[in-house]
Amino acid sequence: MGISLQHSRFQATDPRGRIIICTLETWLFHILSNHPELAESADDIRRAIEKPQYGFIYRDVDYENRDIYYYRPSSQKYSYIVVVEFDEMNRGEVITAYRISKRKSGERIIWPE
Amino acid sequence: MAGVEQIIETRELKTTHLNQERKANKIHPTFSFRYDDRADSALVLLVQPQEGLIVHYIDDHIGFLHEENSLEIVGLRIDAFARKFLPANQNVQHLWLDIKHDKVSDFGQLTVMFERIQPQVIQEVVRATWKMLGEQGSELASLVGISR
Repeated sequence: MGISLQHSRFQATDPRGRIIICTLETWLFHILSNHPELAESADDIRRAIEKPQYGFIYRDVDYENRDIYYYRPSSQKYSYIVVVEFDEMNRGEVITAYRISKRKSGERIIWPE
Repeated sequence: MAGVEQIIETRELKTTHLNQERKANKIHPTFSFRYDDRADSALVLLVQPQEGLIVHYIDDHIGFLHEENSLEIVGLRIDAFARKFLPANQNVQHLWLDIKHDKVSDFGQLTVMFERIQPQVIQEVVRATWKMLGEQGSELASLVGISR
């Protein structure tokens, strides 16, 4: 039996208790295709969701249904950024993930409330 | 929150590779434009990266793409590309609509057309952004043939 691209690459629960999945399709065609250097970073990306930096979750600048999670590994000069889209049932799906050295200033903290 | 806000100063980012590419006077062999319709983000690569890429945002939608260790700038990332960048930049939008609309009848034609206009899209993207990118933006403009 084959593996569907809709299968999850990983699943995580954020500090609010929301369950978030990263599908195999997103992992292969929206993350690794643009950032192959993240091939071994699934655990770091999951950690960003589960234990975001300083416990903060941000709201996307342009999309009200997208939240942003950061995680900076110790001694690294970058942070992971994970963009998650939520549906009306608060089910989350990773849209993309990459690394940054300076974040957007317009994102606002939405958690803790 | 210094750990997340800004890890590297913008002035630390380098343009040596961009300069070398410009001086080599190549006909843009390494240009690449990638659009992620799900994230609505565009990646513009002007130099072939030799290391993993990191984004350094200049504002809420545009950031430099730089190499992890060398800190060399190799391109740009633009977020909300279709939602905000295209409506605000008509020249890019015209080129983009040529790709997306009825002028293209099949995937093969789409690929050929995109390859053909890719350098134009990149040039217009850089034209629309370089002034807000400071000194490093000038290097990008020079590389794609925009007179400053």
